[in-house]
Amino acid sequence: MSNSDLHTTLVVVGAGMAGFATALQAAQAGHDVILLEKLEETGGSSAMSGGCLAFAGTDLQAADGVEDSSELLFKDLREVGKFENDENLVRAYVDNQLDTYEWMKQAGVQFGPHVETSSGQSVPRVHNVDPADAVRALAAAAKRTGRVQLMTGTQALRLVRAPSASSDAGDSNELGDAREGRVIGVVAHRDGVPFKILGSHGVVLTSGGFVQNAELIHRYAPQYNEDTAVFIGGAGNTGDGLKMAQQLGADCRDMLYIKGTYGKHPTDDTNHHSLLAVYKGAIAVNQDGKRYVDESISYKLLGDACIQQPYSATFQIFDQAIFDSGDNQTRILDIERRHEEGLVIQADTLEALAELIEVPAAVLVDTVATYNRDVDAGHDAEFGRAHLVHQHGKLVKIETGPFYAYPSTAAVYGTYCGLCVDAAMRVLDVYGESIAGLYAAGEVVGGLHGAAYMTGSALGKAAIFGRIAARTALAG
Amino acid sequence: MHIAVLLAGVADPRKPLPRPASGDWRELPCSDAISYKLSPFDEAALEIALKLRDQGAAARVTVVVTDGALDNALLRSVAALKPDRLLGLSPPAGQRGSAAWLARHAGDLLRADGAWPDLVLIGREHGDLDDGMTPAYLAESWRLPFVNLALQVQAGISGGWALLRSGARQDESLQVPAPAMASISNDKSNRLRHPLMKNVAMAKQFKFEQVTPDAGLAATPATPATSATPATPATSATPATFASPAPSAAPARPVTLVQAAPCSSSARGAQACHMFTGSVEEQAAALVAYLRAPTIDH
Repeated sequence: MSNSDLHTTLVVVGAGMAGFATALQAAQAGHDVILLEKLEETGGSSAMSGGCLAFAGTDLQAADGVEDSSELLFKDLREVGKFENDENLVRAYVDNQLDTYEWMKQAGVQFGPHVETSSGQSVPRVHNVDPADAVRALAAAAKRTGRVQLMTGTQALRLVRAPSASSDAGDSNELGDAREGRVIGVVAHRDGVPFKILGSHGVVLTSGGFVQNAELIHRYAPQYNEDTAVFIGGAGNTGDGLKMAQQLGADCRDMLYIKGTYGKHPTDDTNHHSLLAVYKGAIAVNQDGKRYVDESISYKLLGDACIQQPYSATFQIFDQAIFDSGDNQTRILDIERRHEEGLVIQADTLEALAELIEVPAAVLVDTVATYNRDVDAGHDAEFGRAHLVHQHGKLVKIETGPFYAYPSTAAVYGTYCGLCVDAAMRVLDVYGESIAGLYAAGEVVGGLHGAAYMTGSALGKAAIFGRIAARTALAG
Repeated sequence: MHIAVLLAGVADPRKPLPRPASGDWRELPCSDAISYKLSPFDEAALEIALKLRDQGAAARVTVVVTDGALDNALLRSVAALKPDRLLGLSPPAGQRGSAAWLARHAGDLLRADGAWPDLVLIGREHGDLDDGMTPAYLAESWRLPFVNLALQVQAGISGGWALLRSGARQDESLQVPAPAMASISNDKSNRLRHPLMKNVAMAKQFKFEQVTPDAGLAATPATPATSATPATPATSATPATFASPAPSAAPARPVTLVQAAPCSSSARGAQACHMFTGSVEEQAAALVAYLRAPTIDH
């Protein structure tokens, strides 16, 4: 062992929401943690996210008169994932979500007062935070414990396993209490110098997904490439943790369900967030002026549908009443802000709007008229849309000018797939056996979302699963 | 009505400048690896032209790109907004930032069909190497009525243009006859629209053949220098007219800034800002005095 090697109780790789949640949970239990971040800045994709967390049964919901429960959350998560997700993981999320909500508040995370409904939710369940502030709050709480050593600019390169009995005796001696083959740390790299960081209770990978690795995404989801989609996420999300675990035989799941999220403006590079006016009643039309999908489904499925349209871009069409129903407390529903940013195209009539977005006016007018008739009839004959979003909200007509169009494409914000873990966040190998000493949480984990995605479940699982991973590792 | 817009790309601030292969940063202006984008001022000028066309006040919009005309991505970003005509006029490295060079070459280009456009728009600073002198210099050279720092333009009822700008104490509207020239500043009202994805996709198909007009430092007869040719036949969705490449254009000869204008001999930048007042003649005389006596007291 080198003199520069470091020792701690738990090694955590990646300083986003999941990393800080893991570190804080472990530190609060009285353990020392070294938290690695390969970039100079912490936060990762968490800090860039929409700041939505899906919780059920909270005080904020109660204050808004929303009746929600863990069982309804479980049902919604399973449904939106088309039952392709891991029931045990969904159960782990549900069973630990309310406690995590309270824990986050105690750690200093501030939730906005308003609860909204979004993708995959039967009731208003989106709890809003400023995502960068939320990560900073957890980071500050972790720092206050005095037990978390944050090392930025430090990249984990490989996992270190305890040597087998036949290995070099020197290595065995330095890890005398380690069980054979157990993950005991990482080889890291800082300022050009490699060294080991060893954790007596193993390693938790919270290294995020691989949204910045377009080649890897294209390998699993060939329909997504740099010409058809936008890729937005933490600069460090290149799949490092995934590869490190795969080297030890870790299995992955949900890889075929990588999808872009609908609602990203295709040619604006200042506002990275999606807008889901469809969840307030807008319809989505393609460049031919025609609808192509049930707009109430998960925005990941909407993203997939959009990508298959001409130019991989479509328009959300709405009227003044829908514009006014936007929610400026929830980024993905904040129509007004997009309008102020000059991203929403406006016209007094549908014909004029069609001219501005270069779709056939007669077709657009007919599309809207047909949709309005279907709303009156109570049945969307073409695509079967029954609600504004998932199973929530009554459909509204598009009839009161001015009229608006929001150009939209699919943005891959996260990969929503990754390592197989059990409900205790132990990483599983291709035979379904846990890899001793290796745990994972956050975006690097697959299995929670399944075929689609509920708003708030990605940031939610970062915090919830991070805490579970810490507890499991420290109990081991 | 014909409106022309003079644009100059600026180095994209989000991307690091590429170190020249020789390691000599003075060769940077020769580099074709620089990524360009439009400045907010140029974006505003272009938006005003497109808005006037939308309103029926302009039958066609011609865009001439100078700095950055060799950057296909920049040209495609402009083409995606569907000007009626898109031309590139790439100054030799040593002439970048030279209003005199632009006056000689861009003027003939704009008068290609025998008359000045009814309105020539230009950002208040023309590219990275202009400190705001170029618009006024061009207008003076071309003897066009000039309004500086306009924010909006409206077609006059009886011809000409009404240009709106924010004065020191109040907004003002200035009337000028056509043809005229205006430099444009940016604000919320003239923020450049986003192109439709359809037009971005179509612009990606365009091929832009690049020819440097003038490899030497001496002035040469004006020649449309850069041609942009769509890969597919021009349609209403594509820039409709493109200049033909200059068949006899010579390949570019590397020119450094030192050859063009040694900084040690340049007075500009060595002194604090100096404001001239009075008539044009008085200001010109003051300027001459200032340049001849760089130690002049301010």
